[in-house]
Amino acid sequence: MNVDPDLERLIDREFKALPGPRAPRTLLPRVMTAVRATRPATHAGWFSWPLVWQISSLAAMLLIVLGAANFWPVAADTVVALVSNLAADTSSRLGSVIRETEAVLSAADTIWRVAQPVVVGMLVLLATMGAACAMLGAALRSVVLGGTSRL
Amino acid sequence: MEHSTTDVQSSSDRFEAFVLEYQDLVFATAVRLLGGRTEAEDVAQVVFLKAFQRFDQIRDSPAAPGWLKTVTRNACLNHLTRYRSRWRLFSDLTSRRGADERDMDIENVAVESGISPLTRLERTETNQRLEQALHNLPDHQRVPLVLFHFEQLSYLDIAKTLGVALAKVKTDIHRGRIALKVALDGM
Repeated sequence: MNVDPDLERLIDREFKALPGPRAPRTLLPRVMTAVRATRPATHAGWFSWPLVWQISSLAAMLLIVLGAANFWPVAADTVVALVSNLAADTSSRLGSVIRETEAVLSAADTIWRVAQPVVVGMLVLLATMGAACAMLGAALRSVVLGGTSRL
Repeated sequence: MEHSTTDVQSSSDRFEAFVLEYQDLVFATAVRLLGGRTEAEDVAQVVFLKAFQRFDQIRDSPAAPGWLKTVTRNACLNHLTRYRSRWRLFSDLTSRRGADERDMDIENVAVESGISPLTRLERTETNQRLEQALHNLPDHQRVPLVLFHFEQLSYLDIAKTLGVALAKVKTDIHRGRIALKVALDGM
């Protein structure tokens, strides 16, 4: 018999009479420290930053904009030159790449024809071993963890 | 919309008040499920961090205590599954420090309730014995027992929550109760 109403009532009554455990004094400081650690200084937005940070961030932004404006013509010329060189090289190399790819594919096809029976056999063996391990694991879990406990 | 520094501070104050209000509830649930104060404190911290992430939704909600209890329960079960073998045979011995703090809690409550010294002493001894016996139960008996008596879950809900057979839940709870009764009768 797994449920004894009298015993259930007795234990329930005793439990109800127990005082609730109180949280240790260290819990609140711990939680608040962790909460502050999860909230970055920037959480509240730019307008709530200290004045020094606001001025520094504005100055940094101004420098970045000025720098970009000054260096943009030089950078644009460099990029155009690079792109044109790259386009010329690419067309000549594309032909050789296609030929090399064909050779590699042909070699791979030959290797696959030779190795196919062995590879298929290995895959079947691996699948069988995997299934056996899974079944053994399920059986062990059922026996060790799912069975009725004993005192 | 930007928040001012004052808003952030008052939000932090409100959350501190929230933690103060519910820390005993969260801790009590955790310590009884886990059977150890250190682990319970760790789990309570995790629970309150989750509460902080959705503080805007739960701070004024009447469902906050229920939400906290559910999150605590799930966090404890995850903790037990992750850090221990769930159905291990032996539980940790509680630390002396934990036992001392528990004794202090029990004495404080007895003093506050205004009962006679003799009754208070007897009740205190019974409570200590029961708490110790509960904490010494193996996880597979203590956890369903606590879920049944303290969390008011049905046998079926406990079986679903723990992912075990209903018969096993009933057997484990029954054996746990017998062990507790033996501890109480041994006074």
